[in-house]
Amino acid sequence: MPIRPLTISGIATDAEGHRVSASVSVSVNEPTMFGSSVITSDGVNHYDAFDTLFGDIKISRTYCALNSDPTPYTSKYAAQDVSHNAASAVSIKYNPIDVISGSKDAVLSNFFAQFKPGKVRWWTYWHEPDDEIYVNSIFTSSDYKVAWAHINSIAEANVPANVDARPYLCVMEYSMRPATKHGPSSPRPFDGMYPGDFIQSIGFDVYSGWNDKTPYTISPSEQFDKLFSIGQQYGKPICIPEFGCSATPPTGVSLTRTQWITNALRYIKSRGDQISFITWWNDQFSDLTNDLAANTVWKSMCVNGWPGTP
Amino acid sequence: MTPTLALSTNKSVYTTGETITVTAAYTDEQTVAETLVINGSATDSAGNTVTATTTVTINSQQPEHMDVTVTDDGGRTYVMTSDQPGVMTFTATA
Repeated sequence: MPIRPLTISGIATDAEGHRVSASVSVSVNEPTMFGSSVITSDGVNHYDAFDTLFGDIKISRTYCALNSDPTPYTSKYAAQDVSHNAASAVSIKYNPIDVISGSKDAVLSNFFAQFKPGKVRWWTYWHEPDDEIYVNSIFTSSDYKVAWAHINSIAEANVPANVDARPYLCVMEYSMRPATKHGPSSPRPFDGMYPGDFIQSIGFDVYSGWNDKTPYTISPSEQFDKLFSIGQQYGKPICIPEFGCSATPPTGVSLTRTQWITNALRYIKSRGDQISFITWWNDQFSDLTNDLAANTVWKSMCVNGWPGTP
Repeated sequence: MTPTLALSTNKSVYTTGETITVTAAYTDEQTVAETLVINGSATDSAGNTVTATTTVTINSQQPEHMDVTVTDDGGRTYVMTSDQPGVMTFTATA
C-alpha cells in the first residue's frame, strides 16, 4: 500500500493582523485503486457501462488525443469522476517543441485550472513516449523531459489549492524487458524517459503479449519484477495505467484470460510493493464486456481492492 | 511574549478515509502562565507524616482569539470543530 507523506500547515492571525505559522507531518496509507479506461472518442457515457461491468471503479483512465482540446475531459469526464467519487488518471499529448515554445501555455493553464477536488487527479504527459524517442525519432529524450518539466510548472501554478493533483510517468513495460526475452531489439533506457523527481508514481502499461504479431506469454515474475525494481530505485510507487489481455492465448498455452489476470494479480499482491493504481484497458482486443469470467475478476478488484483477489 | 502556534494530530499514520483531527494551540503576549506547586501531607495517629507534591500550569489570562486556518499539501479541506480560547480543532478526511 503506497504511503504518502502529508504536511499539514496552520496559520494563526490575531486582531492586528500578526501571523504565526506551524506545521506537522503525518503519513497516509493509500490502498491501490482499481478501475478502467474511458474511451472519449465516441462520446458514450462509459460510466454507465462500468457500473454494470465493473461495479464501483475507484479510478478512470481518460485520454486526450494528440494536440487535442482537452475540453471533453474537463467538461464531461472530470465531472463524472467527481459524481462517481472516483480518482482520475488523465493523459495529455502535445509535441514537446510546441510545449517548450510556450504556445500551449494557455490551454494547459486552463486545463489544470479546471481540475476538480475530491479524489486524486493523476495526470501524465505523452504516455508511452518509448517509440517516439527510441524507434521513430519523433522527438528527443531531452525535449521530452524539458516539456514535462514545463508542463509540471504550469500544473503547480494553476491547479486549485483544494485539488490533490499528482503527475505520473507512463512508459511501456515492454520497453523494460531485456532484448533476449520478448523484449525490444534496441535499448529503451528508463532514465531517458524519466523527467524528474516531481513524478509521484511511475507507470508501466502492461499487456500479456497474446495479441502480438507472434503471440507469446511470459511469467508474472518476468513481467513485473523489473518494474518493482525501478520503483524502488527511484523511491516511487508504481502504477499500471493500462493492463490488458486479449481473449485468445498463444498456441500451446493452456491459460485463459481469466487465469492470466488472476496469476498477475496474485503475483503483484504477493510482492507487497507500492502500487498507486491499476486501470484495465477495456477496449478492442482487451474489452471484457462479453467475458463474464474475466470481468467478474476485475469487478471484484474494483469493488474490494486487493482483498478481492481471486 | 511572542505569539506561538503548535499543531498536533490524533495519529501519525492514517489510512485513506479516516478522519484526521488537528489540534491548533496558540498563545500570545497576553497569555500568562503560572506554575503552581501543590503540596500535600498526611499524618497518622502515631504522628508519622508523609508528603507529596505535584505541579500544574495555570493560564491566568487566556490569549486573545486568533483566526486559524489549516491546510495540507494534498488539497484537503479542514473543518473547524472546536474553538476554545487558545485551542482549536479541525478535521479532514485522509
